Amino acid sequence: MGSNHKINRHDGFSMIELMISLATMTVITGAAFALIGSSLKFSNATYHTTDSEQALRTAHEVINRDLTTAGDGLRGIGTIQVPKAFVQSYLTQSPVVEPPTSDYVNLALVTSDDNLPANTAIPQASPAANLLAGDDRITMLTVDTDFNNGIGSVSLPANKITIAANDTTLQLTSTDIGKFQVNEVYAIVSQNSAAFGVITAVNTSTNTLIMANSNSYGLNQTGAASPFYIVSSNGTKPASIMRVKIIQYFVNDKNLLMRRQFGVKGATFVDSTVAEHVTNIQFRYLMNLTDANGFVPQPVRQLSTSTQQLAVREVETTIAVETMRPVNTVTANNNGKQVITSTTATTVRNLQFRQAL
Amino acid sequence: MQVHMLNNQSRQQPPRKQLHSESGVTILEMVVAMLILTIGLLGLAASIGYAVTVSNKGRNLTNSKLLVVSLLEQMETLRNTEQLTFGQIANQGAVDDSGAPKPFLGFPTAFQQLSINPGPDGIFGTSDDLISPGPDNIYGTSDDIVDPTWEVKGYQRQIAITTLSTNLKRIQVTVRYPDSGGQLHDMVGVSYLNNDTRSNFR
Repeated sequence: MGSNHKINRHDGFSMIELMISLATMTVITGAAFALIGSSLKFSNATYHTTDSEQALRTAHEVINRDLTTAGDGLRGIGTIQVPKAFVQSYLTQSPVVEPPTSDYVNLALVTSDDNLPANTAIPQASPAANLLAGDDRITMLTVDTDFNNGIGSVSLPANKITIAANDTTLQLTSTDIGKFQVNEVYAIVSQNSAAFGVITAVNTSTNTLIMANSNSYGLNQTGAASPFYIVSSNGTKPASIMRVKIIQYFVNDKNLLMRRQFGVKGATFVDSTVAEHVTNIQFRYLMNLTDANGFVPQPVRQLSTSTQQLAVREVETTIAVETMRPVNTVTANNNGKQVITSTTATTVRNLQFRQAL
Repeated sequence: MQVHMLNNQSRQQPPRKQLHSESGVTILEMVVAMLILTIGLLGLAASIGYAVTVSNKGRNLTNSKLLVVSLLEQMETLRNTEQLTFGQIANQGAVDDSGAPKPFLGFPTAFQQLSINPGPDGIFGTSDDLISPGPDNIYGTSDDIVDPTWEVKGYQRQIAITTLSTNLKRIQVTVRYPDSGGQLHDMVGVSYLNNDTRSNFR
């Protein structure tokens, strides 16, 4: 009988045992695969959401940094005059022009542009792109203090600016001429006003910078009403050349949050991408204004008068970022992408000195 | 004898131990193994839920942090622009209106609903934040209403201002936010405010 038992131990599973174990195995493996499937979906969703949150944080951080320094170094300058055509094509659809007949805009330290219409091309964008419809744009000014090895400006004694019929010539020293390149944007600043110009030619034999009127930006202008003329009193006043950064934030129709900066070395402007998959950006401006009864206006989306522009004390930024891929169920009404929105307000410290001092 | 032994060996050569190792596993052993596997997989599934919770938590923290920071920024703005004097930047009951262009009630000490607008005083975190100028868009007229659409749903904020010395205040902002399960959490931010508007611009 002992040998019989031993033979039994050699038997494998019975058919029934095998069937049961296979069935159980199948059920458990199926459950495991279902778990792995949903876990992959979850980890995918988490990855994309975290990625969007990161983009959102970066966007807020970068914009806030520029807002904090907006107006830096421009404290002593009363008016910054820029041709209206330039402002309309590059900065805002509705410039504040006072008086309304003027061809020149007194550029504020912060310029708003609310609710952009569809199919608005971004000037000189490469590759060509439109602005995202319904979004806002913001433009601010800051002095580049690194210019001229940290001095921040190149001084021009009286009678070094010659305004001709079609161009303006700046007479520099042989030391300073090497600091300038064609296409760069500079501000010519005197005691109480400033004007922007683009260098169209650099003559190293005569040490002159030429700002000819026929450039694509329309910044260079001559004539008795032109900013160059006013700043220098037709060249008779001393002035200095500064690199003033015109920084602009906008979202293009590829959902990229872009930062465009005029006033850079070696080029007229540079575009850089701050964040991707941005579906909406809105700005509101809190002002330090009160009416006759002591009430304060609620935040506005568009600064429509120079009084409002001067009274900006805080800028509220709302950014919406969507995930790169669908993370929710895709239906006929939505593309399954998760949109994350957040709002914060930043004080524009350097703009407040006008009130504080 | 030898033949017998050979025969014996041929039939029973594998010792008992070796014989046993060929015997495979019993159904009971398999069921136990599968149970353990299932428990392990369930543990793994629980970790996915944890990952999702952490991700949501991160988003809530980011949003709350922005709300805390924007209020701390406002305090600095109020001081810099001199919209409020240093003595007026205080909780209700502790406001010093002396030398101020207009009186200020102070920031309520209790938790307040968050509003998207600052209300007629232009200051976030006060008790009038939900008051809208009404259809005429002018404050002080009879159509001013409390606009519930201005409310940021679920969020509450508390401001606690402590005077540390004549020239220094401690500002503590607490944002109370609900998580995805509806449970309330607090995020606290602390900042110190000095009474030196002008030094910021020198």
